[in-house]
Amino acid sequence: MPNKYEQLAKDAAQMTDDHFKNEFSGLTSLTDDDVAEIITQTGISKQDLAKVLQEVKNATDINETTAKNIGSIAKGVSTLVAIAKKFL
Amino acid sequence: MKKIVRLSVLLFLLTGCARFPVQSVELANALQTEGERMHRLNLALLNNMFNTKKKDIERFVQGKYAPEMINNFKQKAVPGTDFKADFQEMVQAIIPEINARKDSLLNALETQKEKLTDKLNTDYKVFENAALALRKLLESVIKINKEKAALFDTVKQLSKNAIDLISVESAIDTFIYSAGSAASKINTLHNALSPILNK
Repeated sequence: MPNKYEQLAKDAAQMTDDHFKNEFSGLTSLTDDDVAEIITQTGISKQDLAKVLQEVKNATDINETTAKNIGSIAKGVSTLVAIAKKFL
Repeated sequence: MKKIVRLSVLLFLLTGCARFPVQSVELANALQTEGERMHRLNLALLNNMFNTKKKDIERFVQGKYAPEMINNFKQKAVPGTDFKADFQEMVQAIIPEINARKDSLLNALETQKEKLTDKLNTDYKVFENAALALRKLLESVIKINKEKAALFDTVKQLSKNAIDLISVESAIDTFIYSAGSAASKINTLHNALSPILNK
């Protein structure tokens, strides 16, 4: 059996919603304007980030190769020094 | 001997002379850890803010919205309504409306929290990736310096201390860091290198 006060309750709720309309936005907002602005700002621009990270990665790769090459030189350097000594 | 010296100077030039202490990687790690801590703090503060606002909504609905809504209900009721007799039916009509309003406010708040959490997590991921790239770069430079030091040491040992590239590097570094007018100080560099290279 339908509730005869259902529509009345809906109308009363609508009236109350209209009355508190301005308070609702304040209640459901987790931050004030200043904090919201800080949150939306980021220190690193996303457009530039991929480019910058790629540059850093390239430099890292070059350094890794350089380190490996120096290690190889160290292994062969004893031979080179020995050969060079023969020219003395 | 000159050939050995030439070979050694060539090795020295190949390896460069930038200074990056091993501790720079530790510093990068510490900054990354601090970034993670700040991120966790941000999320915890957001959660606290959410819980406070949730209580505000519950307080508002109970203390302001419900009394106002019941008052409006009474005013809109047709004259002659028997409030006592129909009390239970009225309550059954009013309560769902009040609960629906509370739920919609809480949902809006929850949506806000999710959006902010996503934003904070996304920004932290960007920071984390950047910090990791920077740390790897530092590690690679430190690796070069370690390999270079090992190489210089090998050269020194194999040449029975005749070729000391560590001292050559140190002399050049001192020259570079103290150079005001390079021309006037070039003799200082020459004086510093001569005894090392003429061993």
